[in-house]
Amino acid sequence: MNNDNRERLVLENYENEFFYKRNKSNLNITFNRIAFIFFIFLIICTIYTIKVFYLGSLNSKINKEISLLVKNNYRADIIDINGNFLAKTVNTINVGINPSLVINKKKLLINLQIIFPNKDFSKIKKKLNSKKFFYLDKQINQKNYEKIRLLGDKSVISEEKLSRIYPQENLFSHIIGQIDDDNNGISGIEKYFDYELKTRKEPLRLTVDTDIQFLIREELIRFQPIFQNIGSAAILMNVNNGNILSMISLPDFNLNKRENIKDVNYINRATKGVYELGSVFKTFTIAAGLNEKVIEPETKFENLPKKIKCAGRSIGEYDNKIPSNLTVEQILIRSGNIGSVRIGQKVGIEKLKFFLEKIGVLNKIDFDIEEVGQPISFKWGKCKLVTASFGHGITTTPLQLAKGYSIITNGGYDIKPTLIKKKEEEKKEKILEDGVSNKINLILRKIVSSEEGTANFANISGYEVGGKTGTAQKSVDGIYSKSKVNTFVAVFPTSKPQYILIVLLDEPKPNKEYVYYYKNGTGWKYKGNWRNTAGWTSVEIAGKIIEKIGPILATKYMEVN
Amino acid sequence: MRKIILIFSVIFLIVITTITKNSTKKLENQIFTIKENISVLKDQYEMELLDYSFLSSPKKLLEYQLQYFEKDLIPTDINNIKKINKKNNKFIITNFNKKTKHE
Repeated sequence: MNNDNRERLVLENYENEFFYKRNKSNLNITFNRIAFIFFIFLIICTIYTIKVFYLGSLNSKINKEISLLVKNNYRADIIDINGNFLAKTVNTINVGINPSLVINKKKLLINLQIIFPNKDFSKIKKKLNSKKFFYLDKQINQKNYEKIRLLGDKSVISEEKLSRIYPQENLFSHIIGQIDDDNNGISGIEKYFDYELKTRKEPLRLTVDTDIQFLIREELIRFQPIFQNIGSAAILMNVNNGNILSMISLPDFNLNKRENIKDVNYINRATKGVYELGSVFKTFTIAAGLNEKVIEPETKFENLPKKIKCAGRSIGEYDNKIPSNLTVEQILIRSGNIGSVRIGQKVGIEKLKFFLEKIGVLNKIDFDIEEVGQPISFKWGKCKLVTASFGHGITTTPLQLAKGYSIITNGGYDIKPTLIKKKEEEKKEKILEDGVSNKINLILRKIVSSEEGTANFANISGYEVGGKTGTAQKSVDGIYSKSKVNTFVAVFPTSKPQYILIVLLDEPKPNKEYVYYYKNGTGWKYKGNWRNTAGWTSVEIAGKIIEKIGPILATKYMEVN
Repeated sequence: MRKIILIFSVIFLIVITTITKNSTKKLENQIFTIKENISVLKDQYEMELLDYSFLSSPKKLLEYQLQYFEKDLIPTDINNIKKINKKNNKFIITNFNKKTKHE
């Protein structure tokens, strides 16, 4: 009985399993298979639907991909403030032949002769017999390139090359700089903005104006044989935002020729040249005095000696006719050395040093090109204060001079000279006391407009030109030579300063044949000048420049209310 | 009935997938063609602009002036420049340069 029961249990188990299998019908198996296939197709359909949407919304992404693809062989263009090309990249194609891959030499030569009928094929035949790769033609045009592509010959290899074209040739040589054969910037903007030029999509827009740059350069070149200077520089800058409209240094060079220039005379005098600039520093001494409230324009200095001695060296006036009793205003107008020394002493070493550092003339400037000079450092002392007060024994670059003058004339706001056009104006920080600029501007105007002033030749009607001259002996290896550096800083219009123009002549000589026309309304002419001062050289050039660029600046860049 | 619905669904999905795939292919081709055309046009435009920059550069303009005109160019006196303003349907002409105490 027991055995029977056990057998039945086994059978029941078996039956249960069988019963389960029997419940899985054929219809159910088919359904699962179809559902699986349905699922697969649904996934495929979803993928393609997503792709449709993706392609539809991809316009901007495609452009980005293109720029990334060509990045290795790409360099953004450089344009001026008006959109004129200053540097343009053109992709050229070089075509070469790998002789080891040529299948039918005769056929290839016939085809190439049709495409390049003017080529000497006797040489190419010889090269084809060797196994070395050689260039068939460099910088070929698009038409010929298309024809070569249609040949479909594997032995003809084309490679894309980057060529940089500078349509303005010499005009912006010191600003733009150059690139090497591997698309790396080696000087100027090309070097400083190398990475940005390789990655940005839009052209790099500068603040410079081609027309104004051309007119200023023309004047500098015109006067070079007249004053026989070995070089010159000019900077035109907006005093309120530091935008540089023009920056020239002569001699310059043609960027398209890609020459390796080693002559030091080709340095960028506007930014790299470090000079003792003479009396133009007197304005800073007086501005420091006004800012520290130790003087006013009417403050009188009496019994000023004609000569003083410092460390055994004699310091005198350049003009002995300068009176002994002068106000601060008269000291600057007549460019008095001793008066400036007295003002400097009133300000004191610490305050004068701090003021010069604040307006950015003592330390190296952070600029948009790497070719920037470092003012020569020195130890301040009683004697250094004396010489620095009238601009001797103290050096800076013309660019820093422009910055310093901009700050003291624009209401005392700090600015950063720049060559790059910014989309938004930066907030300006006021670093000088109220009223300093108004007082300085009025004196600068009198230097140009009054008969006692040293810059009458720049008194161009309608522009309210103000400015300060500086004549300094050139120091070579720490020893003063007979050569001079004549500088004029012009600010206009002085009632509401907009622009600063600096004209610097390196080693000019007086010209006795040149005829000067007085700007005092008398129509007087003067010939036979023997004075080698800024008032008779740099000021004359600055006047001519303002006469030419003034109408453009006034109308093109006028403020629309 | 269930079988028929499933078969039709699968066929429908196959057809839709094929159509979608073809249409994306066409879209891709169109995008590629347009992209190529734009880049060619852009290149042409930039080359024209380069020509324009070169031909209208101040240096070239002065060369043309010397070649085609007898008289030299003279700078305009700022005092001769006038400003025209329209006020109440009337044109008012004023001097561009205003005199200040600094003059």
